[in-house]
Amino acid sequence: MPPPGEPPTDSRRTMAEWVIETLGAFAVDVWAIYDEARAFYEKYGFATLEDNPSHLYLPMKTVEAMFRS
Amino acid sequence: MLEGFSLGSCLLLVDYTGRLCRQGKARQIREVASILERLGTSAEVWGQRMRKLFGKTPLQTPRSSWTAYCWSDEMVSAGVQRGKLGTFAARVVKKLPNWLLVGKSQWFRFPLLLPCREREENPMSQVIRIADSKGRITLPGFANATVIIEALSENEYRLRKAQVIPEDELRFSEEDMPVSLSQRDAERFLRALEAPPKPNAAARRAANRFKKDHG
Repeated sequence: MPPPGEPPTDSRRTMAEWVIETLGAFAVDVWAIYDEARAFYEKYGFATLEDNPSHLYLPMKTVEAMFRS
Repeated sequence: MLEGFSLGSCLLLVDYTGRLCRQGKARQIREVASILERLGTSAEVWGQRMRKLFGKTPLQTPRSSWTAYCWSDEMVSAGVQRGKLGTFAARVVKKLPNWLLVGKSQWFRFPLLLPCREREENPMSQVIRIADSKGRITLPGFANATVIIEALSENEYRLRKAQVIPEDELRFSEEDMPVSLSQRDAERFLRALEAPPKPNAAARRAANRFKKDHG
């Protein structure tokens, strides 16, 4: 792992870990501007808000698991 | 040409000197004072030299009949003084806010006005300023402003107004558009954070493709 505070450059997997540990991000937040875009994100597991279907999110832990598997 | 003496300054001085020699053309040019100062002389001494140079040619005394005025805050902040107008002229200018006062006649005490609608839309497309002996210039609308100066080249700079914000008050753009969740969405979102779903097959395939393509 690179020193704290410096983003990694070796692989996307460590980048996901670095975002979680260093930046404290806990989810990826998306505003889909039309239905096709929303379908695209839903295909990859993004969940929609019940009261605002164009607003989607995916926990960072899920993103991290994507690159670990 | 003297070092540090631009062509613009030279032409301005030529124009000023030429007007001294023409009946009714002489005028005071604010920038000329700084030019003459840089040359180590003054308007008075310069005039005396010209008298000697032109001999019997009648020289005019510079008048302030065409001193530029403007009734806008921009010009006031640039150093143009209000209150130089007569009462009547001031009344006319206040009635015509979209007109730029470029001068007033010494003889008729009436302001010379030009429409400044274009000026309002594009207030400083191009202006010429002569720096003083310390390299200072005044810019309309920049009084007490904090600016960012970018050197685009050796001869070109760009000025942009800036605001100083304390570091601990810096905001992310997202903070200006906060997301408000309903109670049920908030509970659902927190549950997803506590027990994140496993990535689906499409997400895993996408991640594998990414790792393969980008290492």
